Amino acid sequence: MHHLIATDGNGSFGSAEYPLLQTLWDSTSLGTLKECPMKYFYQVICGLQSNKPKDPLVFGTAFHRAMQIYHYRIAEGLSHDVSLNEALAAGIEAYVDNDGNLYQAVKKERGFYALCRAIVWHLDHFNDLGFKPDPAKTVLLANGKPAAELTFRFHFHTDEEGIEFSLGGHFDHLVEYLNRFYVKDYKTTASLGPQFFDNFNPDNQMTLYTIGGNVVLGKPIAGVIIDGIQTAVHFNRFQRGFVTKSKENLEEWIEDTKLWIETAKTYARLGHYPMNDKSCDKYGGCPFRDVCRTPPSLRDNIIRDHFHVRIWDPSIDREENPA
Amino acid sequence: MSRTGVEVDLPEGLDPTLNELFNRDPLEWESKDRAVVIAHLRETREIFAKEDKQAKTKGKPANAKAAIKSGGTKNLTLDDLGLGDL
Repeated sequence: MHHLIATDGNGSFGSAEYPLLQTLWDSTSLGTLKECPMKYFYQVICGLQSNKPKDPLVFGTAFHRAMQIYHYRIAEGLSHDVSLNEALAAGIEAYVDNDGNLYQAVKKERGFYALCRAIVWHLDHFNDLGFKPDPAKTVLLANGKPAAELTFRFHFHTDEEGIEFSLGGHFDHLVEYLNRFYVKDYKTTASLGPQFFDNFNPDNQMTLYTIGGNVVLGKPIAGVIIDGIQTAVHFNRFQRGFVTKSKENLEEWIEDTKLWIETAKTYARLGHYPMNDKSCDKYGGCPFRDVCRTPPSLRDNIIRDHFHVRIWDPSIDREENPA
Repeated sequence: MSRTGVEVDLPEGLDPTLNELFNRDPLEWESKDRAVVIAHLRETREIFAKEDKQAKTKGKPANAKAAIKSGGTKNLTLDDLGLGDL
């Protein structure tokens, strides 16, 4: 299966000794490694993505893009209505298929009309139709830009062989809320409630973001605000949840992460990524389940027919017109 | 069907002007087109909020289907929401 490897040109791989060893880790790649090493191999190292429709991904990408543009325009001094109009334009532009045509969702709740509604209702909901700005105020960076879809990266650890590892990712939004700083993350969901927010503590992404927020801001942040967006066929609802971590929890996660990366190094050295067959049913079912249930000698055919290459590279910047 | 061959899945009973707008290629919408859509979605949000509040006092949240269907052109009742027997 090594002929599938697609790490050349991927900025998150860079070890001369271990070509398969990721040296820049984000929450997606680390989370995938924890979930199943074989899934990590296919998804991150080979960059394979299923050809099946991906409503949540397209919808989420478009929604995030709209939010980013809204925060940029507000920071430029534009009104709520003008910023909302431009945000909607950006969301529509991002809601496209691989050919650049408007995406056709399988599920109505992730369809085009639902996207427009989620963008408009969300921004109106938290900004009171423009009469009262969101109390979670956007942090402005030293360069004057708003901290929206902010790419971050910091040195994490140097191992015994001198290999340097970094952590990174993209914050949806850095905000100041009631005189405390938070990372804010948008999560779309089919249903909202206490159970929804409970899923994020403990959570790999939220802990990494808390640590990343501390580093980027250079001061302690209070935690992560989750903007829950319920997307139903006929309506949206919105709710905010808070995830806070103690210093001890953060330190524990850091030590655990060093060990996970050491484990990844072992897999990279051996060129072997074991299957965790207790994870196959998680998150609606692993996209590689059909591959894994096929004898290894026949897997290439399934991969060729049902997957395409789309490199996951957390080193790529998502800011608007990055410098 | 839009120019790109992609059909936009719209709520039933949408105002014909909006229907026509959504069935043009949204990727070519101009600022004024988006303003029309924003105004429509604001109306639906207002109706949903009102019906949801009313329904909650009756002990059951609105499913909002009727609110979206109306597009702000119809006065809704609890019967529209399927809650008339409460």
